[in-house]
Amino acid sequence: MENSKAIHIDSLSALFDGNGKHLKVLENINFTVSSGSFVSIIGPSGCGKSTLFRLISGLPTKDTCKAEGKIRVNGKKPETASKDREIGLVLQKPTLLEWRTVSGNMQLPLEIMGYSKGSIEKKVSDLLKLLDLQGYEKYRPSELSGGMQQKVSIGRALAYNPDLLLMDEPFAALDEINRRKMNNEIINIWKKTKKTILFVTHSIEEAVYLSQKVIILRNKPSTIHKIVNIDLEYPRSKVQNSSKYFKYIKEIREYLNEASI
Amino acid sequence: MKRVFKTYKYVLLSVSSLILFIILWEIFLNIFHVSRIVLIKPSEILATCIRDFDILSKEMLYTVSEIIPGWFIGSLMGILCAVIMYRNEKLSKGFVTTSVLINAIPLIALTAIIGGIMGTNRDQKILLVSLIVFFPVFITTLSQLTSIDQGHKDLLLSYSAKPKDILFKVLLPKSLPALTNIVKVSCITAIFTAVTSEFFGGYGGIGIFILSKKGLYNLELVWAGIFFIAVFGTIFYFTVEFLQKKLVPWQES
Repeated sequence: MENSKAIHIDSLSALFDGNGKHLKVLENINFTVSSGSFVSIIGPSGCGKSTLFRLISGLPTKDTCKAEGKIRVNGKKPETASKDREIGLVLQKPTLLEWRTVSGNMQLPLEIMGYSKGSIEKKVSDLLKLLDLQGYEKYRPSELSGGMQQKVSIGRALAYNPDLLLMDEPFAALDEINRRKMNNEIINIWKKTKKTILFVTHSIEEAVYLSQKVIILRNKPSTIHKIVNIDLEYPRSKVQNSSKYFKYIKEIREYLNEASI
Repeated sequence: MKRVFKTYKYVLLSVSSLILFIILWEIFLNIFHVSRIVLIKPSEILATCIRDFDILSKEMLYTVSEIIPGWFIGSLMGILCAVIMYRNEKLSKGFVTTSVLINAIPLIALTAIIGGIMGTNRDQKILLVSLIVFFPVFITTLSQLTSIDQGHKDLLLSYSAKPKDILFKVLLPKSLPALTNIVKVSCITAIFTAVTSEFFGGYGGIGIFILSKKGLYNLELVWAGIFFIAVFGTIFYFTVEFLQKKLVPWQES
């Protein structure tokens, strides 16, 4: 049953057609993400990751982009799932509103969705606790580090309690140390909230450190090259020096090398 | 505390440089002989300001009663028109063309045209000032409201936000720094417009006062009038800047 799957993608293709261009960006993509799992997507640049991300999010793609095939999020079309508040987005840039405080930013979607004042306050205080951001309520984004800003944007995505978190290279701008810190945080959040997470990344190590399943995309044709199940226990900080962990990294690197040709 | 000290230092620095400038001016005129037609001593100007304070402030207030309403109406209309039109590209483009056309008319000609239609009373000056202020405020607001970060756009879409929410929760607050800036700069444009238009006729005001005293070679009164305009302009500008800082506190850091 596709309904038990958080994401179900069946023979999805997309192409840019117009302005004299005719470019296939995705070809025959098939995969599923089961509820509550953590799945990463990795691939060389230009493999159509962004297009795939936008299609699953229910965001509009360029006018010239035509998609075929089936995408279901919780058994619904992405646009419907998005309207039903089942999708939370975390983008590459934190995209916080600079005039709002940490709390103010987290409550933005709640205000727009018409939650009552009381329930907004309750939800925001729960989020601050979950993300360990207590004491920072009144800070403005410009007073926070890049990692903290991204944490606030994760809080904003969790505010209306979506089942699915879609994350597009959220930690790409962070340095190695902060990135690892945020990796641990996102795993904690995932364990506590039991959300389904689809995580787009550039980093092989990050993909192995975080996910249960890594989907490797390829160029020419832009399709799925391999899917690797990562059979390691959490927290991964305990196994990150094991030979099994390195074997996964090596395996994915080899696949990626093949995929980039 | 630190910030208070910083503001204090800033004020001290501005005031002391102004005083230094005036002292140098006074010394210069004491040493060299300069025709009164060119320049007169600041001490004389100041004495005139004190002696003729009543008439000077009366004339200045008349002009202020043209500047402030004109500036306010012009700014408000500029913002309102942009808010009404930003979602309709055809309408806003057409309107931009019209307002460019009006603003391309030299101020003198515009004064004459509007003077011909409605006379040279106070309302004419208010209309002129608001027309001149309207244009930059409208263009700035429009360009601010029509540009949005792709990330914000995507997020708002994923929240299924209504246009009203997008406007009030994102677009308007985002525009505030640029908007308050242009409104602040327009203070000076408003003063300039009001005084200049008075040179071409009217029933009162500091511009007319200066013009008539110049005709009588009453030069210390001309300078005193200019001094009053400068003082008012400074107060006006910094008051608006103060309000701007209250309204846009996040811009400081």
